[in-house]
Amino acid sequence: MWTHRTIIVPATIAEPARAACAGLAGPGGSRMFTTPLSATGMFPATHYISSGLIEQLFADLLPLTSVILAEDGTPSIEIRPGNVALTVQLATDAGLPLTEAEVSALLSAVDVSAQTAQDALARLGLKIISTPEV
Amino acid sequence: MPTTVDIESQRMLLGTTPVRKLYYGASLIGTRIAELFANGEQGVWYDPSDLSTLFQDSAGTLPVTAMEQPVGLMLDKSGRGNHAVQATTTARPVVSARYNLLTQTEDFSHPDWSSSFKFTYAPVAAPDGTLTAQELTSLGLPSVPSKTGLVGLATGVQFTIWLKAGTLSSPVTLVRNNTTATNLVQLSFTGSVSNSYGTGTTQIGENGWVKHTIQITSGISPGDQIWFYYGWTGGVPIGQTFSVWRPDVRAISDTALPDYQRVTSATDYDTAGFPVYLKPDGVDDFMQTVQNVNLSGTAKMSAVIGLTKLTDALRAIVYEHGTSFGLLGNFSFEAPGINANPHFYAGYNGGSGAATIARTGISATATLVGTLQNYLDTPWRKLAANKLVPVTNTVDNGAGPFSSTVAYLFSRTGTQHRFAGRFYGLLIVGRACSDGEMNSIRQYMRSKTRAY
Repeated sequence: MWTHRTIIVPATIAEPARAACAGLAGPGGSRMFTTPLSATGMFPATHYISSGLIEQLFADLLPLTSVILAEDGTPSIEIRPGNVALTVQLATDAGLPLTEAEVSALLSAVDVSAQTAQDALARLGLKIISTPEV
Repeated sequence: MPTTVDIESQRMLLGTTPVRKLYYGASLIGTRIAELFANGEQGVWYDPSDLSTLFQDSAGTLPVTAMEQPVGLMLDKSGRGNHAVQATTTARPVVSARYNLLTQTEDFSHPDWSSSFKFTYAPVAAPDGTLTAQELTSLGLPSVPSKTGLVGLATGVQFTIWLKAGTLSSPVTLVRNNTTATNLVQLSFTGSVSNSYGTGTTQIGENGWVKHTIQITSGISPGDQIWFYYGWTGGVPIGQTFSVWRPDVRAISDTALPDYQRVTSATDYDTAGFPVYLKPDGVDDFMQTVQNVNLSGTAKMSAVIGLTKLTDALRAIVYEHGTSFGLLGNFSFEAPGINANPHFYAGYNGGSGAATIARTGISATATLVGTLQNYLDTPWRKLAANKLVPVTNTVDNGAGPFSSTVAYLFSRTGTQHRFAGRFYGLLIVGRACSDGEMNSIRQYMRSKTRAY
């Protein structure tokens, strides 16, 4: 039922990504992508992240980046594209005004993996932005 | 000390002391804890080890039934209804009892072991007499027995494995940082070693078995790939044999627990003897109470929290009553409370502004039972952690009372100062507790954490 995914979205599409997740998944998909990221660990945010367990049916809609380590530790990347057609259909069923082009753009832009957040961030060269101590 | 019944008063006596109450049953400590709220005291009581209080969804329709499931609702056992929820699925902590970081610990032939295909495997008698050990026979490909690509480790990690010689007469163990190309600690079959990266020791068992224990205390940075060699550090010549049993990799701070945890997969592992905890990821996980925790009727509170902090790098709020302890009547538990500080700390504001009390000298990775007694109106407060000397102060910070507000677990308002670690439980009672009561709640949380 549950599967782990780390999902990283560019800041430029964070808002439509949030809306799409909330629209498709209801409360379970609400308030996602709230943790800001950047290469420096300081603002401005270039990306946002959500990481944790999601329902398998939603995981199946998303693309999936798989990192395979060879015996000597060398990583290789395989990317399975997202399911644009099914996502469009589910969006239509949910009353979301998303075109196929918009869904395709969203799914193409996100990085989704089964890695831990720390491993995915290291792979993409990103850090969680730490807020000032107040 | 004899237990008797005084005929005249019809009271039970323990020696000469009248027995006020007699408890019996399987959960004596739990009964004692529940009594803290018997007079309507406000507070919270979260106990992740009680799976009946955990649900996978925030509505409470899908119970948690196994480890590694998400927690969308954690019931408050105090009876005050201050349940903690998380509606967003990716932001839910998972419940866990995982301590051994390896998988397939009873089957070296599984592909999870990097060199699995380079050997053949046969069951052999283990040190405990069971047929759960495996004899490896090299296929000579070359056959380097190793577990590669261990990531996410930190200094303060322990590797253990049982070895037995075969035609390979002196199996060895090596922990290597492959990112920095550094052999950290290598241990000969019956030897011991100590260097700048850590130590290695050998325990001699029966029937030719030895147990190797390597503790790495330096030389691993975040993201480094660690390789674990068991038996040999190079190619084992074709046809040569040796045996292995019970590999275990865990934080050194977890070595007080049973010395081996069977792990088949991330969701299939033994839990007996291993404390249960919630595992917020420090990325986006948090929970908040469904209603205000109403402590506005009191200026005194007593609390205990059980946690493991995995890093001191960044400030991490484990629990905060309110949106910030800088506001009147709010308070927090933090580990650490300031970036890069090895401490456990409580923040509060009784009316005169934000103040803190800190118990220092607790470097991550550390499991601790933290207690706080904060009497704003006295004024007096005491912060303790494990068996360290408590910190007290009598600084007047304002007479309170505490506030009535939503509380947050594992971050400040779900947006900053996120806690990545283990949460074993929390108890807050809105009154002063006696020494006996504080001892009870401390022992209760000690049993939940095995912190000391």
